[in-house]
Amino acid sequence: MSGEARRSADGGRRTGRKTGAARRAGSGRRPSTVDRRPPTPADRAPAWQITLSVNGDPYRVSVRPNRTLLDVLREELGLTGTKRGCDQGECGACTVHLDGRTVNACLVLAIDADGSEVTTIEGLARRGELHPLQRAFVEEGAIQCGYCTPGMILQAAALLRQNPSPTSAQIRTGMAGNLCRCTGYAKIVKAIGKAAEVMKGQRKGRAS
Amino acid sequence: MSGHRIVGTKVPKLDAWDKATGAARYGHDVSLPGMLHGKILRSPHPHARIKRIDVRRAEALPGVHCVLTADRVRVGKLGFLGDHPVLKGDKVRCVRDEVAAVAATSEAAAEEACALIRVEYEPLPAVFDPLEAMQPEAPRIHENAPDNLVPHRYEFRHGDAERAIAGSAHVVQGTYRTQFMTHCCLEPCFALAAFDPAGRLTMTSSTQVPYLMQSHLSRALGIHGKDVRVLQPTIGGAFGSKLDTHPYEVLAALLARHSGRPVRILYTREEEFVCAPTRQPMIIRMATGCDREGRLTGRVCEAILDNGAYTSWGATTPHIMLVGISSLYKLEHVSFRATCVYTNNPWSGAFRGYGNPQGTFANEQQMDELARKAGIDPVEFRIRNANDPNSTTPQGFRVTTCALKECLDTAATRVGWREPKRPNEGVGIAGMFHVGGGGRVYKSDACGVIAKLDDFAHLTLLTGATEIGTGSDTAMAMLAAEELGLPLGNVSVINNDTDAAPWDVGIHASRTTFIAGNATLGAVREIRRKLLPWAAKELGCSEDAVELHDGSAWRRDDPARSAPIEKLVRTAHFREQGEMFVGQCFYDPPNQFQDPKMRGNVSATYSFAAHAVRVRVDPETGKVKILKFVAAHDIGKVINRLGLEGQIEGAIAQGIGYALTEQLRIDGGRVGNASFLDYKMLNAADLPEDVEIHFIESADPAGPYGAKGVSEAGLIPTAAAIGNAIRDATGVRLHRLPMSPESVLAAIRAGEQEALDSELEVTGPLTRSGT
Amino acid sequence: MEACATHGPSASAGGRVFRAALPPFEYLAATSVPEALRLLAKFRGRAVLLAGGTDVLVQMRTGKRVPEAVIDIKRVAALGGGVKVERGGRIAIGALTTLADIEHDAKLRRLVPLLPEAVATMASPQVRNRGTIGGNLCNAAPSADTAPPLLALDALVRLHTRKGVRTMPLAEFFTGPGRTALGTDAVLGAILVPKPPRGLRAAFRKHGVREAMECAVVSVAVAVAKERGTIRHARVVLGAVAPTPLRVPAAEALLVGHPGGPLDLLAAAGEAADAARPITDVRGSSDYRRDVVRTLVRRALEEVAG
Ligand SMILES: Cc1cc2nc3c(=O)[nH]c(=O)nc-3n(C[C@H](O)[C@H](O)[C@H](O)COP(=O)(O)OP(=O)(O)OC[C@H]3O[C@@H](n4cnc5c(N)ncnc54)[C@H](O)[C@@H]3O)c2cc1C
Ligand code: FES
Ligand code: FES
Repeated sequence: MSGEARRSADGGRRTGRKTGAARRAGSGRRPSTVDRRPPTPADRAPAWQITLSVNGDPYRVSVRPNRTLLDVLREELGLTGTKRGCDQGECGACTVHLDGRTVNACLVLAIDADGSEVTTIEGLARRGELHPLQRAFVEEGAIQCGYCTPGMILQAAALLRQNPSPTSAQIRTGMAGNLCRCTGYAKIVKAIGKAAEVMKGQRKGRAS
Repeated sequence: MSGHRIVGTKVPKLDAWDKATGAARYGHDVSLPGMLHGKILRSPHPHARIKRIDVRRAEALPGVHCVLTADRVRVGKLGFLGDHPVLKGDKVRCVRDEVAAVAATSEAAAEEACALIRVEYEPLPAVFDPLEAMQPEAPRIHENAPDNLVPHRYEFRHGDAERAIAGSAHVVQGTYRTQFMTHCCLEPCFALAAFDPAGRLTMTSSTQVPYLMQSHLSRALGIHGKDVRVLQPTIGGAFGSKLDTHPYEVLAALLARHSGRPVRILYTREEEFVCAPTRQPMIIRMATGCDREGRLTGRVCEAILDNGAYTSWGATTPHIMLVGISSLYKLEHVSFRATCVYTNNPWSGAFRGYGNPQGTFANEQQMDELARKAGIDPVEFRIRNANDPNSTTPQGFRVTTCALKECLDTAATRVGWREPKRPNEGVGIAGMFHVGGGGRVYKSDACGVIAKLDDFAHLTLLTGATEIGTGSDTAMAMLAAEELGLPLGNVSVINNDTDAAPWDVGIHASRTTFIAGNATLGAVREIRRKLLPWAAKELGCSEDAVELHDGSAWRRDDPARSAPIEKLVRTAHFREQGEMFVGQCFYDPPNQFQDPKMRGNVSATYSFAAHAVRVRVDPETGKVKILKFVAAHDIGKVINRLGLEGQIEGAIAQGIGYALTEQLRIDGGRVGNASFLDYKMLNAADLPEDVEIHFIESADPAGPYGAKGVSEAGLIPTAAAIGNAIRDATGVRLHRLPMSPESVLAAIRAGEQEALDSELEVTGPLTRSGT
Repeated sequence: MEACATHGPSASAGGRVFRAALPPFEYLAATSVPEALRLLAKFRGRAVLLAGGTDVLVQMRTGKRVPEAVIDIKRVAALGGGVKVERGGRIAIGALTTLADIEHDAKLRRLVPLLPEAVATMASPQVRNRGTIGGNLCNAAPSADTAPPLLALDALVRLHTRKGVRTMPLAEFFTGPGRTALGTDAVLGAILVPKPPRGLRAAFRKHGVREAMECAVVSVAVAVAKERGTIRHARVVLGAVAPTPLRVPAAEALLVGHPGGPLDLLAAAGEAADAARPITDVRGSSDYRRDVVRTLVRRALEEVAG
């Protein structure tokens, strides 16, 4: 997965090393005017260099202040697994993990994510091995059109990290920020419950 | 019919892995080198004359390649009646109207350019209520429709309904109103158009009807159909909204043609709420009678549909609305009239259920009231009137298989129909009748499938039947795998390219499993016929003695002897005078195009269902909580249990939204709640935990492995059942959807008064006869 | 617009293009309160402070706000600090504390569970991970869900202005829909919740069409402390039914000195409904809102005073 992402990532912008730090937005960065698009009045504001770690891979990107993390993931890094459903924090399709917490990538300025660690759906499977949630969504029929699925799975992953054995009512409120028009949620709730069981088993397996 | 290895099991969708890993490519994910971004400028007025458009400043903006207005392009019209200009030149008729379109190197530049276009309008008086629009003094919306009536009549008469009602022991009449509902596909609309140097268009689109789109685009753009190729990426929801070809799609093509570059148009969510089609609101006046024993005598129904400013396929929904009204229960005398009225509201389209949810809401409220008046238990009342297998309904529908009675019985039993209820609790039930074997709304109801077996025993199905998330691909693959004895993993489906796949009329009317399923069986059976002689030869037996399963051919009388299918294929390939294993089938179901009198067996078979629901109503806030929901569906035969359950669960959720919360608030032609925060689509925390789905299998002889279509069925009776449950809980019946907390509370407060009010006649003539 | 101000029904389409891009702006990151104040002064009302951005970004996207500059205060340490219990029992909550941190904070859950309970009903987990309590108050939506509980707890706010630090009752902070005592040149530093009276019982009720992800059509917070069977302290606060969150002293007065029997509660609920000045919009009519106020206040009081 991440190999794909890397290939489609915005070529030269990616730096070869892991860029961990650069915590402070704006610190020591000079606005640069590099951009592919010809200037229009909407593009007057200067661009900034930011560094991001996405799914463990370091990236250096030039962004304008009005670009969101979602814009950058999809359009600059080619990580289109993160979906745009509303751009207003209301549908959850753009859910990603930002420094360990789920956020709506459409409500985060890219500049603001400078120096952060981001996990997207492309980074969830490990070495081709699906995450238990991905597997459960597939097997339980929790996916129809699939547009909500990446956001659902990332939110569910955060939910299970906080609460490894949620009741189905807890799953339902925990997933309230992720809309699905196709499934009616029943199979999504079931898949999350099933993944929770599997993950508990895996932890036990590792412990013993 | 037992002993199936694949059919009837629970199988994940073929594309689920791609979707779970983010690898699936949706329209919004596709871009092309050199691609420009398209944006549309829309009318600020619901009705106005366009005096002048000045695009000079827009054109001067750096990055802008192309600005189109009506007087700069020649383009045909869209819409069921061809009344919908792609770009509006003389006047605008609703706030969705496309006045100009821009292609530029960035979305921001295109937006900026739109903002720089000057348009001078002369606002015209507008009309937003269909009843007002029918008045003689109402503003005229289309020149050729002086009365604002869509010039297409829907009238059906069977027997003498008026007389039958007059002679009935009990009669219920009422007026029911339904709301604007919108599809809320999670992926907003998009279109990507590119011309090759020879002038051939490739349109990447999430259309549900690629072959119709081909001809729509060819007509609108004035190019030959052979020069239109439609590609479909993964589709992020459709539900009927992508049955029409929309102006933005034609605009993407026009911009591409004029700029010489690929052009992509993406909607924002707000644009989607304002500009994507809706389920049409209806005003339904209905009267139904029954005799002393509770047998229905006759029904009269008149419906007014708010068509909005232009026609789409939505203007044909009365066809399907009528099927439930005429044929859910046994009726000897029916009279029906529906009128679609132009208004300056955003135009309506097709939406899962296609008019049937509206009609069934009215129908099933009346069934409940009649049962009450006749003093018969509502379930018993329905069973008494339910259709039987092998009967013919007033419209001439030949009902072959029908398990409605079993559905009603199962739903009622499971919901605890006779169990004691706590205060403010109620139970309700509703039945449903829908096309289940295609629906001949075009001259063709066919689907073509070409199947090809390669020499590693991989089977490719080429078909025009689109996958919009419903799992139709998977069902087809299962049928093929079962028939040829291949593991499911050996089958793939290619159905996203009009250059590659054969004709299909589109995914609608719950037709795909039935029609594409039959076409698949036809195609793979041809392969099977070709394969068996090779197997027989290899195994040294007669063809009848050969069985195909688990990827091999087996001798029935000697299970020790088998030959892998791939080996058989290779044997046939690698020899002189060999053979290839390709099968094809063009399946057109044995159904009829309805005559102008709305008669004809429109579907090859029909689906039935019953939903029962237990609710608790908060008598002080009006909030309705669903405690238990039971759906019992006569689906013929289960092919993929997982997919089937998912279809019904999803449709129930949409139906609950339709019943209780969803409403596009359109006031003065403008959408007042164009966001998910204010358009109340339900989330996981809202939907009931306790949803049971029961499949009643009636094994339809015409269906593939006995299956019937089902994907709309779960929505159709949902609001009706909930309305009945609210009546049971509160003693008041609501005549208007959605039954929001506020309207439920108002109804409770007004008590019977509300019920009385809504029985009053609608003022003015409900329909004007003739033209 | 009312409820959830930022999300008021978007102006209807027409004569415009639906913009996908956020409008352009200058981005400035403040690292200290004085710097934030200096930048605010420089832009004189044409800049907006950015905390979690869950209101600001939506407002900018829907065109309700087109600032020249965005001043990010997320990394101003003096505005953070999370939840601290001061000596004497007063609780200080840094303005930048996220809603999620409030929801899960063990101290708040023990000392003033009303606030985390109310916060748990807000938005979605993703929005709560990002949105801050300071942003919710400063955005000053009439339906802001942290306001009624904080008002019921007699909270104070600490403001940083160019003249220095100032503390004021939260009740005086809201001056209208989307307006606060901050004006255009002050920053909210912290929310101070006094040690609650002994035996205080409090409840929050929120009514909307959906169970979650919902802006209040009506919200209610009540807090009652009894001594030997008599109510000695009462707070009744309403959200989403007036230009600002609304305390109802008349209802409180009806409770104090009484045992809190059914009739007392009914009378207080009636006062609350009378005090409400709701508007009619797509989320509900004014009559309906008033009706629901009566019900929710009564039910909340039954829980804490019955
Ligand atoms: C989908 C969705 C659902 C929502 N649901 C709810 C809900 O149920 N209930 C509810 O109440 N709200 C809801 N909101 C609104 C929002 O999430 C909250 O108001 C949140 O608390 C805002 O915090 P923020 O940090 O994101 O604010 P920001 O957007 O960063 O700022 C909001 C405003 O406050 C100002 N501001 C922020 N911090 C300070 C400060 N320290 N000093 C001075 N001014 C400051 C900003 O300039 C801006 O004007 C919802 C929002 C979304 C997107
Ligand atoms: S796209 Fe971000 S929440 Fe919908
Ligand atoms: S599967 Fe289509 S939106 Fe969830």
